[in-house]
Amino acid sequence: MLTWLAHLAISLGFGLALQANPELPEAPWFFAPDWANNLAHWDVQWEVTIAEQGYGPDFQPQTSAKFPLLALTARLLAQLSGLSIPAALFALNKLGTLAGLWAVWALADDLYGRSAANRAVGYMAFPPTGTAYVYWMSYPEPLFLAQWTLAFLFVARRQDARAGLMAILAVWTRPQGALLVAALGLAILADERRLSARLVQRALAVCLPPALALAAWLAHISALTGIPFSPYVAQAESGRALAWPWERVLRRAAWMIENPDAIWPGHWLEAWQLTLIGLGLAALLVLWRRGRVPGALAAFTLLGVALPLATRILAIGRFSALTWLPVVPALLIPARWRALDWALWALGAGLALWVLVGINTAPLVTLYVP
Amino acid sequence: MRRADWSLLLGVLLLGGWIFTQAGRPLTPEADLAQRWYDALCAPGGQTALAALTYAGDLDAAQVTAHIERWRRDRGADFPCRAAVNRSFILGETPPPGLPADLVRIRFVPVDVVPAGAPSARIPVLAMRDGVHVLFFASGAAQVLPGFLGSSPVPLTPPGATARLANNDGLPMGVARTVGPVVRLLDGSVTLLGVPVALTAGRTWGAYELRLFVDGYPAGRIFDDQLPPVYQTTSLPPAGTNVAAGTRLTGLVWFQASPPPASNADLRLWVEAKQTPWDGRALGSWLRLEGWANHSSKIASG
Repeated sequence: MLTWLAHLAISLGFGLALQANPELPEAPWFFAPDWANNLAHWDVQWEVTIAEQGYGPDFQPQTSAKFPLLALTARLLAQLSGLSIPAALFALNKLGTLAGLWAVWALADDLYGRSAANRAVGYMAFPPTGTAYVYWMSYPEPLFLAQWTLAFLFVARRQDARAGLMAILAVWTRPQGALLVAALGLAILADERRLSARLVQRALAVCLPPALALAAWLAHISALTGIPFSPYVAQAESGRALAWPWERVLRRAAWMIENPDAIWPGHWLEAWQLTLIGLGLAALLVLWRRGRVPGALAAFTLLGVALPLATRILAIGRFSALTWLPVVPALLIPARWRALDWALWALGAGLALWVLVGINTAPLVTLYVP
Repeated sequence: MRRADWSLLLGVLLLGGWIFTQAGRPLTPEADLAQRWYDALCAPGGQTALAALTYAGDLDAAQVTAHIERWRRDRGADFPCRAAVNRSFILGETPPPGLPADLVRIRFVPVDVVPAGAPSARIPVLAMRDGVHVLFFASGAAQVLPGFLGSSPVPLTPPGATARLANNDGLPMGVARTVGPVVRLLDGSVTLLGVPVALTAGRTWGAYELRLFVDGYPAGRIFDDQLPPVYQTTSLPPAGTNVAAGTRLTGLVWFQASPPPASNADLRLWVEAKQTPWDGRALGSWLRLEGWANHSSKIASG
């Protein structure tokens, strides 16, 4: 709860600070200068657009690629409450943050016990990758965090109907929802250990509803945008050729070595995030081998990072926050090393603040694309 | 399944139903209205549809019709045309003070207009050059206010009085006023009109723009070298960028009108100050102008 209150205070404080200083926000021509609009820059702007305009054939690739749950729930909330769309997005983001952090705690508590669960929440709330800004700006990530962790939690507790329903919400929130369906299938397989009628029954209860929900959405949105499978292919025109993730990372490293003068601060942050992701994935595999991380959770994490990296590096830190990767330090660092926990949380919070200020204010731009 | 699961299932089904039915629907009709309006504007004929959709303000129906025809003629070979509303960047506008009480909401809809049959050259993220305001009234009606009509729900500021400037977000930008009667110069069939204004930037301006409307239609711009030398040094550009806070701009802003306006022509100046060069177009401030004084003169030929 304290962690959530910290996020709420930072988020509101930043939005109000920009409202009081209308010269500061980046790209002010897109936004009214009120606090909630100031938390709806970058990708969140597409959520505002979808909430107001819906989907259509003549939209940006960015709007055609977005999943609908956050934007259209914000529309519903705005109509029911009289809130503005950006304020409704803010409310849903904070609700998602609260539910997501609780779900991380509950899942970690089931897997590792109370002490590790408390620390896991700290690392999820302030990952050292500096991606906590998704809890401060009105991104859909916290909702997805709540959905996928709850889905895993319910599968682990054999509450399959609830897991399936959470997975339905997840596939309408982020593209990674498709990975979740497969990962939940793996989790059931691992739990049942052998092919049986019960395994089939559980798989049908957990995986079939979200698979159908995703297929229905893909058919619907493809018809609306005129772009077949638009959530997955609409941004292809912005040069997202597929490559092996390691190839892309090595290419970036070589580019940074060869072009030191062309490196932006954002490139250094991405390099830091890629380093942490690489180390984290290696540690995750070791933890999986030792039985500390369930195979399905490890697979979801691995694919959740590798697939975006196969398209490009942009926003990889944000995508890594949608997996179990942020929790890995809580499993590696001994619980008695509290100082190190606090140092890493402070580092994560500091980096996230730097990103938040850098991407949302004109004078202090960090040249990082979130 | 337990009762809680059934409740959750019901919630997900209701939410799914909402999402699927709402996904293709805009919350408000400004994009469709602007697209319909442009479709009628860009096609030869189409006056009936336009008349019903256009905000005429204090212009009469005949003036609106005449101005629309003139807009089409002025486009020359670029008419007929094709328009595409850019739904991704529809902007709200903070209503400036003094609007009629029944005007409840204003939206600016960016639109790209290209000659019919020409490929769209727009870069969607940046394409916010042109567009219209859509005005929503308490009655539920909505009308389109194009930039080429000199009608506005914003009250006219009388000659010599000070108008407050605000950008499309309602951010105070400074003040503007006229400082004398319009100067008229005759140059054959063209009349040059110099509007004496004083602008003060209350904060940094990314850009500013002034337009003169003669009987409700925009006058053309001119280049400094079309002016007699005596006026070239006192002219103020009708548009500019990067004006520092506290700057005071004064001078004559020159336009050309053809055919020559009548002596009792309705002259009004539209002034807009922007926080950045890319702000959406605001309703702006409107200054009523005094007609020309007796020192109107002909430009010497040769």
